[in-house]
Amino acid sequence: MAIKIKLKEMLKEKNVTSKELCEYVGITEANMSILRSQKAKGIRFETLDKICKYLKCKPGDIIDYEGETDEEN
Amino acid sequence: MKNKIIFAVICIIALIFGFNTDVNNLVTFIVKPFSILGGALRNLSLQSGFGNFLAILLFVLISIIPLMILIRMLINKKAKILDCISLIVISLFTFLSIYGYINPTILLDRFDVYNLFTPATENYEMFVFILNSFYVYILYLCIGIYLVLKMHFTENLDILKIFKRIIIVVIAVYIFAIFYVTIPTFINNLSSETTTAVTGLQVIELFNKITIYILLILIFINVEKLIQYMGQADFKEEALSYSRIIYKLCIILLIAILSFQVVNNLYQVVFISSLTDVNASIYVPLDALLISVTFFFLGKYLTKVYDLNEEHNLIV
Repeated sequence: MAIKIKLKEMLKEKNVTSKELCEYVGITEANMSILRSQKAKGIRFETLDKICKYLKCKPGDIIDYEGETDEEN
Repeated sequence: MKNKIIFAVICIIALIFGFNTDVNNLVTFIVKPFSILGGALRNLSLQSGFGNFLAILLFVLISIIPLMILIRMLINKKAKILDCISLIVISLFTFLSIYGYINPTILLDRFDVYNLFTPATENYEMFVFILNSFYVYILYLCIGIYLVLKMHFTENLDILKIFKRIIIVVIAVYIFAIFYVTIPTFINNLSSETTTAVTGLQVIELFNKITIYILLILIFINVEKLIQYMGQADFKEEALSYSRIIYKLCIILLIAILSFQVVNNLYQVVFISSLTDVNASIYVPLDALLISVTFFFLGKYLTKVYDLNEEHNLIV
C-alpha cells in the first residue's frame, strides 16, 4: 500500500510516548502498534481527529502517500 | 472424555434394546417408556389391594407432574396463559398415555375388532401398543408446540444454549438410529435363505446408512463446538477452523449420498440375475441433504465473516 503512517516520527518530534497517546485517544497499545507498523487497513476519522488534537498537527502530517501521482506520469 | 463415555453407554443401551424388540423404529422407541410404565403399574395393581392403591397413587402423581410445574409457576408469578393451557393439556395426555397401557380395553372397547382381539390373540400386545401410541404421539406433539410457543414469547432467550441442547438431542437420535435401528435390522434380516447377491445389496445399504449417520453426527459435533464461539464478540480463529471442518464434512456427505446411489444402481445392474427384487432409483435422504447444504453455506458464510472481522480489527 502506498499510504504511509508517519506516527512514529510524529511521536518522536512531539516528544510524546505511545502510551500517553493511547490513553488520550482511547485505543489499545495493540491497535497503536498496528498503526505504527503500517499493518492497519484503515483509520477512523474519530481516531485521526483525537491523534491530531493531541499532537497538535494536521492529518497530512501523519498520513502520507508515497505512490506515483498523475503529475509524475 | 465424559461426553464420549456417555455416548458410548447410549450406543450399548441402544444395541441391547435394538436386538430385543420386535419393531425397530425410533418413533416406537419414544412410546416405550409409557408402555413399560403402564405395564408395571398394571402388574402392581393386580398384586394386592395395597398394590392397587400404590399403583393409583403413582399413576396420579406422575400424571399431575405438569400440573405441579404449573402450580409452582403460579406461586412464583411466572405463569402465563400459554403455560396454564398447555400444562393442563399435557397433564391430561400424560394421564391418557399411561392409562391406555394400564387398561388396554379403554380404546379397544371403541372398536368392533375388540371381539376379534383378546389377550389370547396373536400380536394382541403389539396392537395395544400401536393403538395407545396415538395418545403418546399427541402428548409429544403438544409438548413440542408448547416449547416452540414458549421460546417465541420469551424475552432474553438464550438461543445458543437452546440450539446446543437441540444439537445434543439430534446427535443422540442419530446414534440410536445406527445402533437401535440400522445394525439390528440388518443382522435380523440376514438369513441363510437369501442369496449372496441380496446380502451384498443389504451390506451396501447398511454402509450407506451408517456412513450418512456418522457424517451427520460429526457435522453436528462440530456445529456444537462452533456454537460456543458464536456467542462471543470476537470471532476467534477456532470458530473459523470448525466452520471449515463443517463445510468439508458437508461436501463429503453430499458426495457420499450421491455416490451410494451410483453404487446401489450399478450393483443391481451387475447382479440383476441373482436378485429377487430390483429397484432402480434415485433416493436422496432429504433431511441429510438439507442439513449438509445448510451447514455447507453456513461454513462458507462464517469464513467470509471471519475475513471481514479480521479486516475490521485492522481498522483503528
